[in-house]
Amino acid sequence: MPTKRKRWLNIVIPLAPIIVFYLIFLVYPIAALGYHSFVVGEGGQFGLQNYLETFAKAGFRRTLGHTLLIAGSATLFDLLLGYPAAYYLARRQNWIADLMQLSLLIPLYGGLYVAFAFMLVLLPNGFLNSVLIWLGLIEKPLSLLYTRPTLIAAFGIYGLPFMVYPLRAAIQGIDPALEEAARTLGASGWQVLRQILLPMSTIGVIGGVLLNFGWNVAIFSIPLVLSFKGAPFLSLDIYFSTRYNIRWSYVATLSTILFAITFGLSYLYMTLVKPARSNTA
Amino acid sequence: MGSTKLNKLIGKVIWGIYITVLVVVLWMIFFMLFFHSFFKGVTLEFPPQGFTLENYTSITNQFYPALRISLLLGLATGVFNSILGIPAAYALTRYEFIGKNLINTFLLGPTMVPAISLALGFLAFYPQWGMMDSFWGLLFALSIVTMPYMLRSVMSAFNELDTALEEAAQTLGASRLKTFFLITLPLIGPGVMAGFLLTFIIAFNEFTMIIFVYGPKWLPASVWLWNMLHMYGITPGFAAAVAIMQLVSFAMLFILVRVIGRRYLQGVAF
Repeated sequence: MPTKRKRWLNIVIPLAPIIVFYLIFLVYPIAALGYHSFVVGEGGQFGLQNYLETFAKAGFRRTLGHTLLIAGSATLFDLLLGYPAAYYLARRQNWIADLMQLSLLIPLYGGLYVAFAFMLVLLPNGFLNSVLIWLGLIEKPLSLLYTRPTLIAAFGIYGLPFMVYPLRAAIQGIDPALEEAARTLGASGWQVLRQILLPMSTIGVIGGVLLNFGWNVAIFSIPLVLSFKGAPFLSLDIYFSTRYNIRWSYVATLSTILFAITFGLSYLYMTLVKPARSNTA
Repeated sequence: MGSTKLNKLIGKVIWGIYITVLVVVLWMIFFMLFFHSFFKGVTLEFPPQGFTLENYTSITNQFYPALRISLLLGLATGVFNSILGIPAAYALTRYEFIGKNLINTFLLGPTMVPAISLALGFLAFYPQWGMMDSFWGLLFALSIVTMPYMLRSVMSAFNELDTALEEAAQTLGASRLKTFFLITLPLIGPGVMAGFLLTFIIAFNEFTMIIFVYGPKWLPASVWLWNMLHMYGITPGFAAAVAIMQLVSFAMLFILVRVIGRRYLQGVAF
């Protein structure tokens, strides 16, 4: 059966190099860190001791809590800010929708630039304070930069596309005729939103929240620039722990916790939300 | 009837304000620093003492070597991703086989892994492999995080391709390899270009993957920017460097959206 063997080779030859590449540069680094996080002491036994030790530290619990708080607030912020944008993108096809779509791509590659822009606008001698002083609205510059709302807004803008895309896909799956029918029967915009759009786009909301939160938890560049004393982040903790005398068991544990959160939520999205969406659409 | 008209008007106004604010805030990320890059003086000061183009020439010696490294890495990552990604996308769209869904999910996997964890993993084994501060070390780190974008773009191009054209070529006696290079590759060109541009944009701006494995010899622009900010704060020269980075990215984004077509932006979306 020469043809059968050839078909088999046609599948394996194109896929083998990329899979080997992924095994070395994706699976191996993550698995090695996971392995390190479960190895206890010099003897090389397995155990949960690193995790128990890490969770026993009050500093770590505060860091984890703060990371989840900022990431969660940013997700809520994105849900409120992103839903109308997703609706507009799903229903309209004009130059404004084009512009909006292009605008949404800006934060996608430039977390660092988002942080720089926030800095430039909000510094004590920055753009916003200068304008407010010039207008005579305030006398002394407001300290806006190193605050939690600023962190949440910066996280929110960076992660906005990850909320808008799943929502848009879900709203596209809703028949516009349903809205029109409700409108004709006298429903207000609010009623259409509450009784038609939200219930029928639940899968998009869940998907957006999973993706967006998983993304927010691990953001590194924005906290690096905008974080301040009393605003600890897991990703920052990992980075600064590698500057001097790395304790691999500790950073490997932190990194594996972060990996588990992001991977778990993204995997839920990939296996639950995405198939459900393609069935309805 | 008058009240419904009024309601409609209010609705339109609210939509207008919402969209304007959203678009302005997103573009502010670019324009604030672009605007600031023309300021005279060396410190942050509003309103400026005057405007000048000098900031773009005063950073020549320090910034342009780093920019060159980022451009080189962006292009090299695009080439490397094309070489590994196009055959894989071909196999995944043309054949049905056991475990296909699993491999598909696996190959899109880097988007499900936090960059900081991956970068830390690289820091754990790069020193042993002698890949710290090297071209290939940075290239592989950038390639793994951009490969899913290349795969998605090329796969959507393969899905849209009419297989009858390939069959016709083979019926007329072309070999499988010849068919691929003369028929298939030109037809999926836009998808490959989209994947290449997305790879370039992300690799060119990537920061998290690089800051763990860069060194004095291979110091890309994004890390250079952070080092400058860390040492001197925001200066007009710094703003000029950021503006150049963003202008390069926008040029690529513009080609992607206007020349190649919006449908390949699916590569970005989940």
